[in-house]
Amino acid sequence: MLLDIQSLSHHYQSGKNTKLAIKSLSLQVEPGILGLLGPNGAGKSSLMRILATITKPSEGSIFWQGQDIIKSPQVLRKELGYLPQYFGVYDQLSGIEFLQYIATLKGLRKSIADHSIEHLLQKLNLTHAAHTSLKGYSGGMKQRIGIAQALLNDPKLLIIDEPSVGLDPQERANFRQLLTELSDERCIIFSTHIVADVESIADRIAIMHSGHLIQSDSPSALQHKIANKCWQLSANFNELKQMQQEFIVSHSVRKGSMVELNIVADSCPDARAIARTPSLEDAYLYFTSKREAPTAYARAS
Amino acid sequence: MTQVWPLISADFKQRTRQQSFVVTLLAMSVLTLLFFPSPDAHYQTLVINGYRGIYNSAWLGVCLAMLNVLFLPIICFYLVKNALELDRQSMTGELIAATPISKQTFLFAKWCSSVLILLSIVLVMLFSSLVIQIYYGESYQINLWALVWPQLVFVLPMLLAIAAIAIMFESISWLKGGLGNVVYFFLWIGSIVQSLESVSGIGALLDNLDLEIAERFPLQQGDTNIGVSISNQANAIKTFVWQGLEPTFVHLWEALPLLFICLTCLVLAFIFFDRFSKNSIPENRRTSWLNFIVKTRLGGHLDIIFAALTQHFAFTRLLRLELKLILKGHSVYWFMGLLILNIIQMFVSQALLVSLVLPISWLCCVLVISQLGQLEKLSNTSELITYSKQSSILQSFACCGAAWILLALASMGSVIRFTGSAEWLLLVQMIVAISFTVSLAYFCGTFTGSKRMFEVLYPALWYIGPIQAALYVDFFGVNSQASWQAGVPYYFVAISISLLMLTISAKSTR
Repeated sequence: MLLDIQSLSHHYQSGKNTKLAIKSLSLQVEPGILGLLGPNGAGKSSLMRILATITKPSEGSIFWQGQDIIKSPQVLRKELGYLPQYFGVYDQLSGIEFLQYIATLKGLRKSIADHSIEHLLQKLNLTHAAHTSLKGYSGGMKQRIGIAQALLNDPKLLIIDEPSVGLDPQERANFRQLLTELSDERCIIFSTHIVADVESIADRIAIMHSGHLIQSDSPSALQHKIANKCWQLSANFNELKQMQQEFIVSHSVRKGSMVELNIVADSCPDARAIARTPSLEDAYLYFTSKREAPTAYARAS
Repeated sequence: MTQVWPLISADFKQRTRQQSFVVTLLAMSVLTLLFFPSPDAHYQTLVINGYRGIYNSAWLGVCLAMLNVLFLPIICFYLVKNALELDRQSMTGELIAATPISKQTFLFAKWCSSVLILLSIVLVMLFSSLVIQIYYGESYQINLWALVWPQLVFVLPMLLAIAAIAIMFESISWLKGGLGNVVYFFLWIGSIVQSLESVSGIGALLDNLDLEIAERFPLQQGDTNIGVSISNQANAIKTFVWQGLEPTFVHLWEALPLLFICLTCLVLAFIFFDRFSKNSIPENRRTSWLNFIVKTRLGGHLDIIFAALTQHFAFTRLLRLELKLILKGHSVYWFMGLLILNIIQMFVSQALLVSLVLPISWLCCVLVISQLGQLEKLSNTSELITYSKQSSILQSFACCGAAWILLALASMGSVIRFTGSAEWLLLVQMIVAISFTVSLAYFCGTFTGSKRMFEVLYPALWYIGPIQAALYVDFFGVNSQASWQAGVPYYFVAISISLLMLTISAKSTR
């Protein structure tokens, strides 16, 4: 079971210029969870739509178990689960009616669909609202219905774009647990710009920037690549702005009159700085910032 | 079919579990009641040679079929032209696009659910006719077959075709929006004439009735009318007992062209439907050189001047921004078309100008001003606007003012001409007509939350009023003297103010 993306490019017209969404991207996806990270506008959603067979790419090939899905998208659609970043529901239908509708679109037999719907509603804690109109669902409940529809046909390839939007911390943890359970026997592509969502569950991380695939490795390997570039420094508030301008500040915590900064830099930023263990977020910021003009990176907490 | 049925069922439920659908059913029921006036009513609808049949099942069945053939195409088209739009707007399309459902199965299911919706309307109308027969009591003999078969033979094929045409319009990118609504309106106008003059279908049935009455009552020669005819003398219309006729193969044969249209439209829909592959963000739109020059360069310079003129007052600043908002995103060819029409307005004869060129210039603005009253909804900014705006009245006036300016710009050639030739009455009428158009658009947009109502209603008024010169609907005053004598401009001023006040008060309370 393998998704093989070869030299994929996608461009579109914007005004007089041709804009590049994806440039010569090659990637192999194997069973397990692939976390696709990248800043907004990196081309993640374009890639997701192409992989979900909705958009045709400008160049390149995609093979699913050896078959070209650009020429024959139906081959993949039967085994695909897709949760787009923005999606809607038929708000006049109940949760169960909507899932029955999607199950029919996916070509599932009624008995299989009914069993699957019941199981997923239970798994996603929606059984109590199964017969309630979707109009009355909260944002998190709608997101869970979206997740349920993606899993209806027990997909071999699951593509999920920013799935944790609208989920509360408990639901996010449950969702991560669910993905981990599912990941043994299928390919899961999880696109996000929230590193914490994939840090603990992804087998592999791909980082995109400006349409390019800039890194593709296991989380530990990515962390290892910046092993001697992570520092911790206690600074006063006057120094904070200067530090943010000069270095990548991946985290800052206020401690009394001081602020503790996590810095990512090729060399020691200050005599007071001490080396620390890198996180995946450090790696992400390090690789993406190298491709941008120097700007401030900080996540205050 | 077992695979398709759940799709039809879900789509049907989504589209009918709306308050607006219940309102539509009630409205159609009322329309049916009005189409069969009581014997002492001061109007009649279907009169042949001065006669109408007594309200028995046969007469009601045929009359209902005629009503449906003439008016359902326009009502039902706009009612079901949301099958694919529903998925695009609700963003369910993204989910559907990634499933293995084939284009033909999906479109077929959508077509079937549209047909079911239309059938439910006809069923309500049939039920209403049954009630009418019992209520008027001109004949208590219920003959369901006589009531139903004209709907099956004349109306059903038409419903199948309307559902297919609607799907086709939604599949073709340039027809799926407001332009398609206007295009269809003119197709309908053409189809009415075709239906009545046709030697087949309802036209032939009407001719048969005409002949039969002429044979039975050779001495009586009265008027023949389909539609609404005002009669000041109650009971002036004579009645007769019509036993009806039976459907023949000829009748069925005559439905074939409609079935052919239906099939053709479904095939075209299949060819053009993009399977929701186009992103809701228009990423593939190319900006032409002409677009760049006219909209960016010329529009930019004009905006600088306008901004300088409007900068001193909050209202004028808002007015400029509202005008920019309604003009954004329109094709450069639309702007050029308006410019050309303005030039034509300067040189054609006055009769042609008032009766045709000016109405056409305004019709070109229908798709722009139909956004009034629901721009916030369309761009999903309602919440931002609600908490930001200081005064909803100020915003309402700015919004209507912007539309007013647009229509005035669309008629600038006429303004110059009327001023030059001191045609002050015409100028006043034009101001009244612009005000009426704007308030109607604002009213329709605010109360229906959709552009469709105005896009349908305005061309209809435009056709009956300025084009057909029906005095009391002619908001434009094509026949200026008669119009002033009848006080029509005063009525339209009153209507405009009422619509505007009603809309503003509704907006303020929201």
